[in-house]
Amino acid sequence: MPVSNPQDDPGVVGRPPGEMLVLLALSPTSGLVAREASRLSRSLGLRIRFLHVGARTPAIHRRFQTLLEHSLTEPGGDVTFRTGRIEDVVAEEAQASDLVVLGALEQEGPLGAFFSSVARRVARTAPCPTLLLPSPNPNPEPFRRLVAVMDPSTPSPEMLRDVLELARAEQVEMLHVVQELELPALNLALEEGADLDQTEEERRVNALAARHRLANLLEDCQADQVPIRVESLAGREGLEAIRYSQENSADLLIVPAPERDQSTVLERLFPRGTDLTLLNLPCALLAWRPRRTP
Amino acid sequence: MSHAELVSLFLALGLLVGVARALGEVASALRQPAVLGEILAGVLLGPTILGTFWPQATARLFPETGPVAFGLQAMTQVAVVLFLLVAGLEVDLSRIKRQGRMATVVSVTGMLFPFALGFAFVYAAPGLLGKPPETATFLYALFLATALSISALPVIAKILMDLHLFRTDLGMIILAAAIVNDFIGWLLFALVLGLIPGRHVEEGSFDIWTTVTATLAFAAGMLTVGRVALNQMVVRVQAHSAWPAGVLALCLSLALLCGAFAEWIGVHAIFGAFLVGVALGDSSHLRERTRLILHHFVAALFAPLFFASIGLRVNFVESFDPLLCLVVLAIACVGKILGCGGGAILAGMPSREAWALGFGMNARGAMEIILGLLAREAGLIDDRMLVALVVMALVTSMLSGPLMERMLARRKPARFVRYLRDRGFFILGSDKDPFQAIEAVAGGLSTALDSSLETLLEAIRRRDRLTGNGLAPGVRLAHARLSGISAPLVGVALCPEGFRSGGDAEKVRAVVVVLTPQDKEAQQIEILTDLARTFLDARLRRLLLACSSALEMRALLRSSQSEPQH
Repeated sequence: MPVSNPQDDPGVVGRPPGEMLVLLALSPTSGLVAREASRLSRSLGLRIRFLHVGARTPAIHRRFQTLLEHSLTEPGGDVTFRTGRIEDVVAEEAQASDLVVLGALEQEGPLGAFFSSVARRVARTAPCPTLLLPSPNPNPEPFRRLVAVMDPSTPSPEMLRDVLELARAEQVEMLHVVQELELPALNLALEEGADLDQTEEERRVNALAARHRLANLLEDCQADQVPIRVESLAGREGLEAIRYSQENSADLLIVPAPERDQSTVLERLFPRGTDLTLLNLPCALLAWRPRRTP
Repeated sequence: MSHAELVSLFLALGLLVGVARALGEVASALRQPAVLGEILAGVLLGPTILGTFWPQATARLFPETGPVAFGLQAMTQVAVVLFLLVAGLEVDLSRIKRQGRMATVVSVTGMLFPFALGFAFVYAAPGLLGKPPETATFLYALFLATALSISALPVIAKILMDLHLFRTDLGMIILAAAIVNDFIGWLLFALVLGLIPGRHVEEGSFDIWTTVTATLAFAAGMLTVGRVALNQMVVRVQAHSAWPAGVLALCLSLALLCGAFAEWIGVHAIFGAFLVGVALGDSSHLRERTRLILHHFVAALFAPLFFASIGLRVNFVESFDPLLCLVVLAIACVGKILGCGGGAILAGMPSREAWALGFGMNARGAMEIILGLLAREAGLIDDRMLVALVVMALVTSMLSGPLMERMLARRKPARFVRYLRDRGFFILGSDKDPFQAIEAVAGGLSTALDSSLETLLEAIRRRDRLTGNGLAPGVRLAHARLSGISAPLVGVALCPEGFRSGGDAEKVRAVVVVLTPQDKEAQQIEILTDLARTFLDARLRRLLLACSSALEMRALLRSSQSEPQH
C-alpha cells in the first residue's frame, strides 16, 4: 500500500499515484464508508474508485450519486457497476488497486466462520490489502492508534514497511507492533513433572526473543520518526490481537491477510489467526498482503 | 460402606496418592518421566513387591473385591476421564495446516506407518504379539495398531521445553503432528472399544453399528454445534458465578456428563470427556488460568492415583514377558521413528533433524499406559501385553529426549557469561538510579568501542522505547545493536539494596547492558534468551545479585552450566 504525493507528476516520480477501490453496498453505512475512504485516499495520496456489485438500475445509480455527493468533499466520484460473485468481481477489478475498502459487520454470527461473509471472502481473495470498516466514523479522523500484528512465524519486512508508511501518513500517536506467541500443549508438560515456574519461564523467554526479533526488523526499516511499542502476546493467535486492540483502544488493526486459497473444513471449524480476528472486529481492520507484481 | 471399609478406602487413597506423587517427584528430579515414579508406587504397594513379601498387607489395604475395591475402581475411572479432558484442552486441530506441508506429511506417515506395521504383525504372528485366543484377530490388530501409532503429547511438550526447542520450527512441527496423532488415535481407540462384542450384550445396550453411528454423530455434533454452545456456556458461567469455581464445575460436570453419554452409546467414557476437552479448549472465553488450574488439579491428584493403580492390578514380575516386551518395543520404535523420520526426509527435512523428529515423536508415555489399561479392563489384552505396553511407554519416553539431543548435536548456544567484561562490572550504591547504572556500565564498555558514550546511550534508549526493559524480577535489560563491533559485550551493575526509583515499582537490583553486533541476530537472541533464563531462575538470581566481581559471577555461571537448572 504505497503512499504517494498526489501533487507529484507521475512521470517524474516514476510511478503513477496508486488506486483505492471502494466497494459500495446498498446498506445504510455506505455513505460513511465512502467518506472514510475519501479521507484516507487523501492521506495516502491514492486515486479513489467506487464499485458496486449488482445490477445497474436508474434508481440505484441515482441513489449512489446522491450518496457520493453528500459524502465526498470534492466532486467527481462515480460508481462502476458489475455483476457476479462479489469476491470474484473485486479480485478482477482490484488488479491495479493498492487498497480495497469496504464495510463489514463487527461480529459474525456463530456460524460465521463456516459460512463466510462477503467482507471475509473479499479479504481472502483480494489481490491487494483490504480495509474493513465495521463502524465508519461520520466525521472521519486519521487513525491514531495502530496495532500491527506480525506473522507469528516469519514477520514480513514488506508489511512492516507499509505499516510504517501508513503510520507516518496518519501521524499516529502510537504504533503497536505485536506478535502473537502460541505455545501449544505447554500446559501438558505439567503432567510430566514440569512446574509452573518452568512453563512461565518458557513463555517469558520466548516472548523476549520475539520482541527483540521484531525490534531488529523495525530498526532495519528506519522507523525512527514513528512512536512505536513492540509487544509479544502469549496466547491464542487471532484472539490476543483482538484483546490487545481493545485494551489499547486501537482504531486500526493491521493483520496479515488470510491465505487466498479456500480455507479447509478444519480451519472453518477451528478458526485461528486472521480468520479468528475477522469474526470479531474490535475496530477497523486492514488485512495486508503484498501487491502482485505486474 | 461400613466404618472399617471407609477407613480402608481413605487409607488406600492417601497412601496411593502420597507415595505416587513422591516417587513421581523423585523421577522428575532424576530427569525421568514422572509417570515412571507413579507406576513404581503401585508396583511397590501392589502384588509385585508388597504382595510378594507381605500379602496380608496388600490384601488388607487394596482388596480385590468388595466396596473398597469398587471405590478405588470408581476413583481411577474418574481419574482417566479427567485425564482425557485436559488432554483434549490442548488439541488445536488447525495447527497442522498452519505448520505447513512438513507437519502434515509427518503426521500422516507417523500415524500410517506404525499403524500398518502393527496391524500386519498381528496377522503375521498373533502368538508372538500375545493375542489371547478368545480375542478376534481383527480387533486385536486394530487395537495394537492404534496403540503403536499414538504419541504422548505431555512427554513431547516436556522434552521440547527441556531442550529449548519449543518455538523452533522443528518443535512446532513435532507438536502439530503429535496433536493430530493424539486426536485420531483417541477417536480410533474409542471405536475399537465400541467394537468389542462384550460391550453390546448387556441388557439395554446398542448393537455395534448403532454404537459406531452414534459415536460419529456425537463427535461431529460436539465439534460443531457443541463447540459453539460450550463457548456460550463458558462466557455465561464466568459472568454469573464465582471464578474459578463456576467454570471449573462446568468443565468437570460436562466431562462427566458427556462421559456418561459416551458410555451409554457403547464407547468408553474417555471419548466423551476428550471431546468436551477439545470443544472447551477452543473456547475463546476459557481463561488460561482456568486451564492451568484444571491441569494442576489432574496432575497433582488424579494422574498419580491412576498410574499407581496400574501397579495394584498387575503383578509386574509374573506378567513380565521379555520377548513380548522386546517385540512390542521394537515394532513401536521402528514404526514411529521410520514413519515420522522417513516422512520428514521425504518432505525435504535434513536427515539429522528428521531422525531427531522421529525420536521425539516416538515418546509414548502416559497416553499409551491409559490405552493399555482400558484395553485390559475391556478384556481385549492380557496382563502380559499390558506390562509390555507399559515398558514400551516408559522406555520410549526415557529415550526420546537424550536421543533427540544426540541426533541434533547442536552447537552450544552463545552464553552471556562468555562476553562479560571486567571493566563493565560495577557495584553501585542505592543513591544511583537505574539509568545512572546503565551510564556507568556503558561507560565501562565503551572504551572498547569506536562510538561515543552518548551515541551508545541513545541507541540503548531507542531500543528501550521499542521493547521495554524488563528481564526478570528486579533485573533491567539495556540493549543495543551496534555496527562497529565484531563480538558481543556484556556488563552488569548490581545494587543489592536496590537502585533509587521514583515510583512504587519493584526495586531494580541489577542492570545488565548487552551490546551485540548489528549483523548477528542469532547470536544476539541466544545471548538475550540465556540472560532471561539465567535471571528468571530465582535461586541463581539470588546468588548472582550477591556477587562482588565479574570473576565471581563468571565462576558461578560456569559452575551452574553443569547443573540442571530446575
